[in-house]
Amino acid sequence: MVTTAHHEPEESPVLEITEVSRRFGDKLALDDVSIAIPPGTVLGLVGENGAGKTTLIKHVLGLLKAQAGTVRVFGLDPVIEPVKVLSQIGYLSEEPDLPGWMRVHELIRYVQAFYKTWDAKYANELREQFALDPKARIKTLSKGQRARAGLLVALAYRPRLLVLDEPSSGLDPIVRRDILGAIIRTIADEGRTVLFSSHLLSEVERVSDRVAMLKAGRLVFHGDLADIKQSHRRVTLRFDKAINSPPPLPGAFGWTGAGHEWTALFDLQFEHVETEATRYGAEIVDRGSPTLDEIFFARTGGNGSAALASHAQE
Amino acid sequence: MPSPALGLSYYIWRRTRLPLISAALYLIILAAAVQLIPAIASPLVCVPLLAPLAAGVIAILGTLTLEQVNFDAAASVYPTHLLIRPATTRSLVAWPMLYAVIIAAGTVAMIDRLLLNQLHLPSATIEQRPINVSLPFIAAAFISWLQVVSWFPIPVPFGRLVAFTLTNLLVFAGNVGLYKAGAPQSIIALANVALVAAAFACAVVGVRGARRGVGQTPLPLTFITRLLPLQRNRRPFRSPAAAQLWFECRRNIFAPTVFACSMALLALPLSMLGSAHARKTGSVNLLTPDASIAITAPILILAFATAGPILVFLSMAAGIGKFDFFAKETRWPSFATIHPMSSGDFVRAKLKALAFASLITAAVMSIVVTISWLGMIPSDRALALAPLAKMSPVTRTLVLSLLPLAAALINWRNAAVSLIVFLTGRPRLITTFTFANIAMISLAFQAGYWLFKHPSHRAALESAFPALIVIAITIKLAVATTACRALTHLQLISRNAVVTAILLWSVFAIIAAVTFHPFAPSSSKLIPIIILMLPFTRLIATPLALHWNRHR
Repeated sequence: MVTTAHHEPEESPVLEITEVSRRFGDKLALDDVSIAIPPGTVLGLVGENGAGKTTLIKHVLGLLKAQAGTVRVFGLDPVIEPVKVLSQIGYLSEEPDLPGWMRVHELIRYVQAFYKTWDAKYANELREQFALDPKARIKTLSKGQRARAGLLVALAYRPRLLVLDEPSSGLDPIVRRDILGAIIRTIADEGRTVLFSSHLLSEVERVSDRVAMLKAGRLVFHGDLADIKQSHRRVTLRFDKAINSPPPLPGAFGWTGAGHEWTALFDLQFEHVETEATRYGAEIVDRGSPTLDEIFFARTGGNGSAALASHAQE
Repeated sequence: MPSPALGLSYYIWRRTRLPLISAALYLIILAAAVQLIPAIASPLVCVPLLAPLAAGVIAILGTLTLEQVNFDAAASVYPTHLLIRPATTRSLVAWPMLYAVIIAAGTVAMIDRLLLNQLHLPSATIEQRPINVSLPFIAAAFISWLQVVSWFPIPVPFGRLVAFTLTNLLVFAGNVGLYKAGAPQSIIALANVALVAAAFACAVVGVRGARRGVGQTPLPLTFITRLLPLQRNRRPFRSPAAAQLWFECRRNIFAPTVFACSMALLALPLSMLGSAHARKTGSVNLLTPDASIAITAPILILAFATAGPILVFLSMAAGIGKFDFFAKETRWPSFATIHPMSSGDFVRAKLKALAFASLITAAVMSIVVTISWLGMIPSDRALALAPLAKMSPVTRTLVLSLLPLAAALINWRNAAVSLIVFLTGRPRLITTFTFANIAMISLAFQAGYWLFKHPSHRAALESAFPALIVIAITIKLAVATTACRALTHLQLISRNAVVTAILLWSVFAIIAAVTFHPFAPSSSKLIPIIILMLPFTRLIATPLALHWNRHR
C-alpha cells in the first residue's frame, strides 16, 4: 500500500478503519484495510466492480460487522451504538430502496421524525431544487428522481458525515455535475465530512481532497489527491533495441508500448527514474504528471492501460 | 434448435426442482408407508402427515407464477427478461401455463391415487367418492387463473387482491354449482378445461399488455389526490417511535387484519343461512346419532367464525417481521436499517401495531359472533353454552364478556411470538423454521394419537411428566436469561424495560393461574404449564433477531 504524506489535522478522525477484514464464503472482500478521515475532508473511494467499496461503506454504517479489525465513526462502534452513529450520518445508496408506496411528502415527514437536526426549510429548498412533486409516489418516479429523493432525505438534517455510494449511477449529468458537486463542496466548507465512492474518476478528481483506491479488497493507496499525483510520474522511454517486454525497472508499473518506445508510471523521484533508465540503455523522451485516471488504470489494469496507451499515442 | 418451450421449461425447472423433487420423494415415501404399515393408512394418522406435503405444494405453486406475486404491485409479475425474448406472446403464455397445469393436475392426481385412495375412508373407492376424476382438472383451473391474476397488469391499488379473490370464487362456485346440479364427472372435467382455455386467452391479453408497458404506472386516482393537501399540512411526528408506528399501521398490519376480519365476516351469511335452515328443520346433529357430543351446523359456523380469523391472523402476522409486509425481500432494506433507531424500538412499534390489529380483529369477531348468536334457535344456544353449564350465572357472564379480550390477547400473542423468524431476515432460516414447525406439529399429533392408542405407555409418560416439565422450564429460563443479558449488553432495550417485561409476565402468569384454577386438576400441573405456555423468551428475543438482521 502506498500512503502519501499529508498534513494531519489535529482533530480526531471522523472515521477510523483499522485493519478491517471481511470474508464472504471463500471470497475475501476486504483484506486488512486501514483508513482514517479527518473532519472537513472529502474522501473519494475508487476501485473496480467488486473491489470492496460497498462492503467498506457498509462497515462504516454498521450494516456489516468487521470479522477482524475495528471501525470507529465519531469514536464510536457503529454496531454497538448504531443510534448515536447513524443520527450523524447521511447515506445515499447506489440503488435507493425507498418505500415505493410512499408519496414524496410522506417520505419527508417520515424520515424527518428520526433526526433532531432536520432542517425543514432546507428540505423544502432541496425538494424545489430537485423538482420533486410532493404528491408523487416514489414508485412512479424515474431512477434519477428516486436518487434525488434519496439525496434529499440524506442531506436535510445536515449530517456530520455524508456517505454516498456510487451516487453518479442514479443521477443525471446535470444533477451530478452542478448540484452534487456543489453540495459536496458546501458540506466540506462547513467543516463536515464526505465519503463517496465512484467509478467516475474525473468527478472524484474534481471534488475530492483525498483518495483511497481498493483493488480486490486491498487498499492500494490512500492519501491527499495532490500528494498522490505528485508522487507519480509518467515517463516515456526509448530503448536502443526493440524489445518485446519492458525491463523490470524499480518503481515502474502499468507499462504500455511496443518495440523501442515504452510508457510507464513511476512512484519514484524523477532522478531515480533517470538513473534506472540509463542502466537499461534507455533515454527519456517524454515525462509529465499523470491524471487520476491514468494512475487508477495503471494500478488496476495489469499489463498496461487504455489511458496510458492513449496518452502514448498522442 | 432454439425453442421458447425448452427455454421456459428450463427456467421453470430451475426454480421448481427443489420443492418438486422433495414433494415427490415425500409423497412416494408416504405412499409406500401407507401400503406397508397398516396403522398409517388410518386417516387420523395419514392426514396430518400430509401437512409438510401441502407446504411443499404451496411452494411449487408460488414458483409457477414465474415470480412471487405482489398484490400491491400494478405491473405484471411476468419477468421482464422473458418478456423481451423474441417469442410470440402466445408461446410465452402457453408453455408456462401448460407446465403449471401438468404439475398441478399431476400432483393432485398422485396424492389422490397414491394416498387418499389407500386410506380407510368411509367412501374409499373411485366410484363412490363424489369428485375424483375431475379433481386434477379443478386444480388445473385454479393454477391457470392464479397465473392470469399474477401476469395481468392491474393498475389499481390492491386490485390484484380483489381479482385473486373473485377468480378463486368463480372457479370454486362453478365447480360446487355443477356438483350440486348433479353433473357427471366428465362434464365437471370439461367445464374446468374450458376455464383453463379462458384463462389462457385472458393471460395472453394481460402479457401482451405487459409487453407494451401497461401497468408500469398505477392509474392516477385524481379523486384521492385532491384530498392530499390536507395530509400535506399534517404536523411532523412527535418522535421516531410515532413515525414508525404510523408506518406499521399504514402498511404492515393491513393485510392480516383485513383477511382475518374477512374470514369472520364470511361466517356471518353462512350463520344466517344455517340458523334459518335450523328454524325450519330443527336442530340436527352433524355427528353420528350415538356420539357423546352434538355439533349442529350453526355451532360449527360459530366455531369457524371464532377459530378461522385467529388462524388466518396467525398465519399472516409472521410476515410483519419484514420491514414491509408486501416486500419480496425478507432482508431489511438499507433505507430502514440506517434509521437511527434501536432494534428494540423497531420491535416495540411492531408490537403496538399488532395490538391495534388484534383489537380491531377481535371487535369484528365479537360483532359477528354476537349477531350469529342472536340468530340461533334456543336449542343451539343451549348446546353452545354447554361447556359453561357448571358455572354460576355471574361467572358465566364474566367469562363471556371477557371473550373478546381473550381473542385479542390470543391474536396478539400468536403474532408477537411469530415475529422473531421473519425479523432475522434470513430466507433459508425462515424456510427451515416453517417446514420444521409443520413437521413438529405433525409429529406431535402422531405422538398424541399413538399415546391415545397405547394406554400403558401413557402411564409411563405420566410418571416421567414432572421430570420433563422441569427440564423444559430449565431450558426456557436459561434461554430467557441469556436473551435478557444479550439485550442489555447490546443496549437494545434498557435494564428497566427488561425488569418491566418480567413483572408484566409475572402479572399475566398470576391472572392465568387464577382464571384457569377451577378447570385444572391440580395446581402442581397448572403452574408449570402456564410457565411454559405464556411467551417470554421468543418475545424478548425479537430485538436480538432484528439486531442480527441489521448488523451482519
